[in-house]
Amino acid sequence: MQDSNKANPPKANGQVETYGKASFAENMLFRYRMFWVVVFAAITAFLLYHAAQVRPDASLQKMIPANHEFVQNYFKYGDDLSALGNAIRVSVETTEGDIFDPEYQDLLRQVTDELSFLNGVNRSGMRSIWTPNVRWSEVTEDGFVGGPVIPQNYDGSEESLAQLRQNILRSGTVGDLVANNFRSALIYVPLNEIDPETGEALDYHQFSQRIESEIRNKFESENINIQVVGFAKVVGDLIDGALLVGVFFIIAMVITFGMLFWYSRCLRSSAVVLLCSVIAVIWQLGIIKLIGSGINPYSMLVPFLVFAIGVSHGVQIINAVVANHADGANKIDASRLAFRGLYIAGLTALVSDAVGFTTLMVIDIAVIKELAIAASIGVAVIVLTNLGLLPILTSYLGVSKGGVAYMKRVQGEDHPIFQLFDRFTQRKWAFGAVGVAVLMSIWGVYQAQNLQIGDLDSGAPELRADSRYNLDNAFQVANYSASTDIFVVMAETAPGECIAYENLALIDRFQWHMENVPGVQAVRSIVYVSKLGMAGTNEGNLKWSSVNRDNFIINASISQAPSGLINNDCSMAPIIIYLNDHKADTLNRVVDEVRGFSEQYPSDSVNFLLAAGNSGIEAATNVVIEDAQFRMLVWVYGVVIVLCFITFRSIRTVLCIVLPLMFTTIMSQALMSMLGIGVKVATLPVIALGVGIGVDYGIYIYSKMREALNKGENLTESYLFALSKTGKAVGFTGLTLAIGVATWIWSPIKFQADMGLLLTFMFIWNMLGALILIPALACLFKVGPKQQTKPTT
Amino acid sequence: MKRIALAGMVSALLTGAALSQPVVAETYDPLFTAAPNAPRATQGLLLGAEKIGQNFVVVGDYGTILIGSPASEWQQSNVPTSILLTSVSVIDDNYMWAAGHQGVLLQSTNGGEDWRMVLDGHELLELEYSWLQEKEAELAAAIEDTEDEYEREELEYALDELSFQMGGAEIQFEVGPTKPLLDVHFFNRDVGMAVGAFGTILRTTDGGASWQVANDAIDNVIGYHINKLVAGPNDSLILIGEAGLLARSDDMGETFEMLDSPYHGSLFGALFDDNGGLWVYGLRGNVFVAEDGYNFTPVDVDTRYNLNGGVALADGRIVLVGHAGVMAVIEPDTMQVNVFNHPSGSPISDIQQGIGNEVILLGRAGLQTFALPATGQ
Repeated sequence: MQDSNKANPPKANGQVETYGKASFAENMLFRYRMFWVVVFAAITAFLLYHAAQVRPDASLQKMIPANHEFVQNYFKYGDDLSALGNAIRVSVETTEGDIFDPEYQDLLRQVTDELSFLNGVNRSGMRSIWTPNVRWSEVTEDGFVGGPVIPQNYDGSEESLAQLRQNILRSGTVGDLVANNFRSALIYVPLNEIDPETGEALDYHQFSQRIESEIRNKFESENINIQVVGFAKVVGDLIDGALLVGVFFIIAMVITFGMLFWYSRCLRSSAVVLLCSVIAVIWQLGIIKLIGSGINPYSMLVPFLVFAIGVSHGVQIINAVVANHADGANKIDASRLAFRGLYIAGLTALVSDAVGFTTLMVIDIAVIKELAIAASIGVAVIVLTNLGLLPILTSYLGVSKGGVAYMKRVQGEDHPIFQLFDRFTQRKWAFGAVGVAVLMSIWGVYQAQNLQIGDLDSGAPELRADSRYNLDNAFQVANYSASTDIFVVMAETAPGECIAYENLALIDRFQWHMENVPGVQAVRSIVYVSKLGMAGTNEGNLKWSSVNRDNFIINASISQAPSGLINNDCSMAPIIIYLNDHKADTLNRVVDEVRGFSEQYPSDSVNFLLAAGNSGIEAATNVVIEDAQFRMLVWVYGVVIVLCFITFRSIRTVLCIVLPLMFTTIMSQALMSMLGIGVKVATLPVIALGVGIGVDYGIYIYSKMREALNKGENLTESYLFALSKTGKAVGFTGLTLAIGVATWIWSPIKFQADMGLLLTFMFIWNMLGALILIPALACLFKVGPKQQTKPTT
Repeated sequence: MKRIALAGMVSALLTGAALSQPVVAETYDPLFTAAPNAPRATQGLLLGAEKIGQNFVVVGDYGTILIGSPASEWQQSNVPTSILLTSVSVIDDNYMWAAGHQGVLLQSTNGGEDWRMVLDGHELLELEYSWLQEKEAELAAAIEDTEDEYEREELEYALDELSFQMGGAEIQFEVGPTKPLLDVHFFNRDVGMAVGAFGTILRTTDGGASWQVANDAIDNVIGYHINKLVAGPNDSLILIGEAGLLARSDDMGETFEMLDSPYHGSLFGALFDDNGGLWVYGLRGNVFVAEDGYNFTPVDVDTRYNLNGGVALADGRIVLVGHAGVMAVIEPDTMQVNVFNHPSGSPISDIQQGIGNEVILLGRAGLQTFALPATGQ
């Protein structure tokens, strides 16, 4: 489909019209060349202005399957649950001695104060041993006594520190606000998603940066470490990491430029291809900004793909232009003919890419949909920039003499590697290649059995295991009695009924049911507090730790309950389930047990709604991913098969092109399984992208091969012809695409690294698969020369 | 044949239709729902234990009753209720009783494998109400009989007080059973007692076939909670409770004698040591011992946490356990006290001696074993 310039080489200038008729598009483009340059420049300037305003955004809502039942339930009670969820936990660790030190306590007070001044912090909900809402209490012969944990007359003296130690011990905050080893203390900082004064949404990135500059940098010293854990920090670190992607982009550009030059030996045309591809990226970013869509850490992949696809198509144009020059055409005619020979083919390939990307829309998660939209826009833009603008620019600039000379030299060269690949058209080699592929596929399918759904690493799986955040998280998990994998079930009742005895009794049983599920560490709810309160109001006697049938007594028992365990109109009580991990098995088990309980104890008054908390949302995401995994494969392969069939009208051809792609899909799943990469929001689209772009190789090669077959050449000859025409281009495209995404492997964001690794693997494997398996399969399927057209010898 | 098949189909359809009608779910009532089988039963709230041969029987929340020992497996028994069980009393290898919240008394006659509910809170309310009615009738008769003006006034005052209590009991019928039984003790297969909140005392002499309310067996007009029954030598029984409540019985609980209490705060436990000395302990680390007779002297145990349970070890040492995992090991001969905290830091309700220096602790963190330091260390 590409590189067809050789079929009708221009002989002399001014005779362009004799080599095929100029299309309307070609005439429009080349008659008003200057006009289009000005228009492209104006649009580029306009879109650059908008593209420059694109900021990475990592909104939670976009990363989760918003239409899934769990998430809908979570949204329904999102405001009520906010008191539980969105908070950061700042621990201040001393490496010398323990926390009962006047200087340490002074520092802890300062950190607490400083945190309360940060925008977005819900000051009244903050808890640390220095906030007045953290109290101790004790039963005496005369009833309850209690007070703030920090002694009223605290002065840093030995006595007041001893008093503080005693207050901490009887306040029950060890493991909560004070580390089990007394070497660090923790400040719990709830955040307001929406600033109550300005009504503006919290800027997580800014908040995270202020934590760094105003807390960590200011207070950390030789013997003081500060650990910060919480969703806001994850998002902040994600955006920081995402900004590094800009650097990767520059690296990818430099390497690509080097490859372009190596390929064309022409500085001028290399620069033009690079320029047009960068313009495509600018347009893509500008347009997504204009349509109100954002860029997120997932869709950041798109500019890389757009750039790489742009370059690979630009190379085809340049290749043709240089070849036309080599054949003696002038600047304008060389570009015109290049355009004429390629625009249909390029358009078809790009349309198939775009359609492939849109199949990602079956995954009902906003970030993936954004990625699909961004990628489709990007590919559409390439049609304009690299098929439209690029030939116009070359018609002005021409190509360097060196490039033309190089082209003349290598034209028709029969590369030894081509000879090697051509052997796969022979039966023996074909059997060998297909046999190996089948064996590897069997092994791959076996490996892929262990493929996990969801994230597997502990802590924040978005970030690397050795990232500062995950180290901080590990510190807090080790020193405090807290799990960061939280699954919330919402017990929904009629308004005002959430603490009625019958409902509490059922929630109590539910709590115990869940506490007995493997993988569950602990369960907390209003019932837990009520039972503690019952013992508390009865002199701490454990024998009273039971929900009382009398609603007046229940009310008294929960008078000290922390906020968030029932909602305002008492129609919902969250049940917080702390998990060992967030592996898909654990989450599935929890979901099944919740549903099983509801079946076993049907109730008209309590509805146990799934699910909130990071693990609840993750469970929903896993369900959507697992469900979409199969559908997406069906769609993407369906589209590819249909497109191939429309183009080639032959089942055998479709098999020759599609089977190597399937082989790549199986092998990439095996790779994921081996590397412990789960199927998740980040990696699922990669498979569709790999197939969508991977099919291009097959189309390029097969279309050239068919050209020769139609002329009556045998398979071996035809494949060698295809290789000489497109082999280099396929190799170049594969490497350009791979390099574009390979830089991601060094991203501090774990899922970006996973995406980069998988895409690199898929692009290269697809390329090799196409070069080796297409001829082999063609041989086995007995694809031969078209008899009718074969000239008699 | 066809007709039969058709009829079958129709009936299946009808049944299906009937099943698809909205079913009104029965309200969950833990009192009458069998205890859930819980793989982590040993990690839930466990409150009381007694020895049964080489094993122990342990009771706790959600109707959990476990039989076993740290050396073997713990087997969960079949229990018809899911209510919090507070105590257990073993009579012999087969017969045993357990008490719990909402007036629950359970009996097992097969070594603890299966339990049946002998009394529930609804029945307890009835018992109490008819007891109040009897009292009312007695008082009314006494008022009728008496000649003495002063005595009549006293009796009428008592009758007023009683009708107030009966009014409360009537309201209680509406609310349902709320009263926890906090301890149970059986002297033999026939005679046993259960005590609980608001001065509740129940007694049976026919192996639980009938129960008598005996709240007035002690002087407890205010209705302080009764926390514990402790059997002593020669069928003697010590009863302790809120506000320093302390009484003894020498006739298997038929009559009680009030004792001078060394403490006005709550007592949670009591035990007899090898020499017949009586130890009582409770709120805020208060411990008292009466070596002989009932002249108590305070024991200086350096903790402010509540002491909930205790055991006299085979080697004579006394171990008291309480909140925040506090453990006090006392040498009775020297009165040397060693106080430390169990690493869990979690409140402990009861303690039993295991093998050697090992003790079994029961509490909020479930069942834990702990190796005590050897004597003299």
